Amino acid sequence: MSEARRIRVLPDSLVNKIAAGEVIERPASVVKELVENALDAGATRVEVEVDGGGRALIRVRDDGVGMSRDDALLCLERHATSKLSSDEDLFALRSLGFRGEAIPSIAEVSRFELTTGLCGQERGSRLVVDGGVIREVEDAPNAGGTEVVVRRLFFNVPVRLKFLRQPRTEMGHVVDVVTRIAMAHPGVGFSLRSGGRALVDAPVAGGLGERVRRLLGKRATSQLHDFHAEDDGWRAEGMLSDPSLHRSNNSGLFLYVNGRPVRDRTFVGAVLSAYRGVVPRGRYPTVVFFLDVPLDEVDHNVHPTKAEVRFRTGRKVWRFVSRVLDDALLRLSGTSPSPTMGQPPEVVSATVQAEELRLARSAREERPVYGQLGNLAGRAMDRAPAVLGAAAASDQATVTVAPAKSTVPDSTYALPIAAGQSASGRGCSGSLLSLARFAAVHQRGGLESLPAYADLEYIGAFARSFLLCAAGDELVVVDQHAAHECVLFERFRSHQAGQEARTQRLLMPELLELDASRVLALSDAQEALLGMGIELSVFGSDTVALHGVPAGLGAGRVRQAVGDMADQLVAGAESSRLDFVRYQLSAMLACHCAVRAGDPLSRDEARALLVQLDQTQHGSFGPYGRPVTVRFDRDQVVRWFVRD
Amino acid sequence: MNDKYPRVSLVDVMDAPANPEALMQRARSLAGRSLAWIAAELDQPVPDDLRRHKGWAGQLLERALGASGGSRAEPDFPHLGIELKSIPVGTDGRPRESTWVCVAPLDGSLAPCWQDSWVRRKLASVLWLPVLASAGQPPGERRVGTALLWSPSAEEDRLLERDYEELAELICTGALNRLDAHQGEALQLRPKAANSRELVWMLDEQAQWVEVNPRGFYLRRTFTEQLLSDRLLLPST
Repeated sequence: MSEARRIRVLPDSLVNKIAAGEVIERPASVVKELVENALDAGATRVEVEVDGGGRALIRVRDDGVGMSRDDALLCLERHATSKLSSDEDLFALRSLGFRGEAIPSIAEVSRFELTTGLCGQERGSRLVVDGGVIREVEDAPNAGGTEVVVRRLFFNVPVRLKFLRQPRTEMGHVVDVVTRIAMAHPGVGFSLRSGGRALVDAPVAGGLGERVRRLLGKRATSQLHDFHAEDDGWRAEGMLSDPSLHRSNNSGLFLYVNGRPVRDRTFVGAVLSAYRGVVPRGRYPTVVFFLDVPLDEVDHNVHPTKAEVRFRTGRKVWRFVSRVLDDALLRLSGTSPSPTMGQPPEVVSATVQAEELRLARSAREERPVYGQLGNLAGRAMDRAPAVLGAAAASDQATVTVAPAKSTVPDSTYALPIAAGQSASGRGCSGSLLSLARFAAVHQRGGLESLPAYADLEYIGAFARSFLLCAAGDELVVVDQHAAHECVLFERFRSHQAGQEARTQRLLMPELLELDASRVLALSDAQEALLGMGIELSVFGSDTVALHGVPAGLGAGRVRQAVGDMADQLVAGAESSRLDFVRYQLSAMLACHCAVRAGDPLSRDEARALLVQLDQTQHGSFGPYGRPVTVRFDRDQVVRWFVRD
Repeated sequence: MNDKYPRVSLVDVMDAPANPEALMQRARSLAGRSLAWIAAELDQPVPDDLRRHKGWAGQLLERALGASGGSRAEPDFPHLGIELKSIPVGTDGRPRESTWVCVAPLDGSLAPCWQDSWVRRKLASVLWLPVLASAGQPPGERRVGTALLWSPSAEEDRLLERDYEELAELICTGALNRLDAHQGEALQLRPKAANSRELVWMLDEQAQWVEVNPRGFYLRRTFTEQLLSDRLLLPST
């Protein structure tokens, strides 16, 4: 065996770098570890400052108990901690950190400066560590508490540096981390600043409600409702959203186990299961859920970042969480009807409701149901008509579509619709086609002989959703939402292609309360939005002002679309393709602003819509891949009536 | 964010804006802000109600924008020739009251021709600043809307000219019994005085000097509503 392949003990610096790779994934990880240390030190105020998305500078200052010089030096050693002393402690953790890995890991991959002093002592200490090597140890004035400054993160790990995203994206992660930690500690004041701007400003709050209101904004909080429950040592407390408040991704889920923010599939699954059928498919609620379980029910020591946990019995967690939320939602539906469902709750006993919903959900789901309770809003959703129900129900449904004036009678082609995407839904909950797929679909559509929609003989509307038209021997059904979506999509896209977008200024700006990462995302997408006629400005760290909307559209729908766009931009922040961002925004805006299924159209409006469809380049599919028209020839219709 | 809606420290903008663009930038920075926020920026107290502080909102906004004309006959921004008009609107975006333009001289000094009138000069270029004010809302909670720099369109100018010359005719001929708010489609005359005891001299139809309540020129609500809705999207639409 050659010398190079012999087994050897790795040098400390390499061990530290390997460990740092696990603990310190990105700047947000540093912030998380340092803020948690501050909390474990009994801080009542934690101030975070970040520049350059955390690459250039991270500064965390607290007013906790501080450290002596010996302890400060010791904390630079791996597995040196004040939070554990015996095996038993590991299974009865109350502190946020315990592994003693964070500080040495951070110091290994940055220029690290620690200034600290014990409470009541005149002098403190200042330590400077450069890439894991202690450069300076000196006396320093003791201002109380601890200040850690991390500069040039990953300067000696270029591979990791390459994996970092845009400063804005990294900043979004930092905001998320601070927000999630701050949510769990209302008794501690938090601030996060970057480039002179306050991104999080949460003074000491009187309780969870006040803290949540501060972090999520008054508007969102007005639709949140408290819940708490206790059962056999398990405790739940938090706030859950009204069914009318939903978003396009799961960033509104703030889940904690024993005070620690976690990402756990079982926990998330249980929360979402409670909202199944209550919020539209593909949408997510906002839930702040603090789950306290006996310490022997959960193991936090799964991953160095402690974001993952292992429950002793996942089923138990599922049952408890979903039952708590089901109960809370049931109470909500009993007191106020869900605005999204559009109908008042019926007077049905809770038992009947619960049983009906349980059965309905069981029928839909293959997995076992762990005793859920339901609500009336869910039943209303379950009863929603499915015009093309068979297509929507199957996982890979196929809708047969034929252009109205095909030169070849049988030249139909099929478009697969992804599972969960309703072909008859009110909006577009399905996934957006990729640019390439969109181009391919439309290229194919362009080869077909598309109908002159204006030449169709308009018969009338069906279910206030579908325009029934005749074209010679054919029945042409036009989805009014998809058709209008097509028209608007092309309009927004053409604006981006250089045509002047017409913006209608609002007399009174609409204020949208969002979290800081969404505000940043919208701020960066402002140019693309302006191209579509949407004029925005940052109004504060957590608010955006909508000043102008595309001419001819209502402010309400644009406002809703902007909220969803922010979600998408944050979720898809990794995408550097501006054209795709613009494409996404156009599609989303078109979907939000188009007439909906259920909106009554007059004959003139219906005809005007058909004429506008003719003016689009691609009038056969919307950006979500949904067909605009479905055709039935005379033979098909005759067969419906079992006639020869 | 682009520089169209910058965060402007009001403390730094006490000087008059150098040009219309600077004025609009300041006005845009106020859009969406509450009067309490603006007052705090300017270190000004907020009254509990406006009964004893009529004109407080307008004066606050003048100060925030660096206006210098005050209540003089000249425009609020004399070097720009721009008049500032704050206009209270309801939650539906409709103006809640008629808009004061200027005093209507009843002593014979009124320019009979629209082209030479103070009204025309005042309305030649107006910065409209809507203030959302629902009934009973405390002054501090009222919010500033989107600024609109306006000059009358040809049609609006014709309408104002016709009204002005009709009203000027009534004043010149001393038609006292018709000097009321019913005349004029866009422009109207209304009493403008602190109380009914305030009187000015005027020649009546018989060329006799009589004492009457002073009058002022006002823009009707219907006119300002149309003006705003032609150019801005009202909340109700």
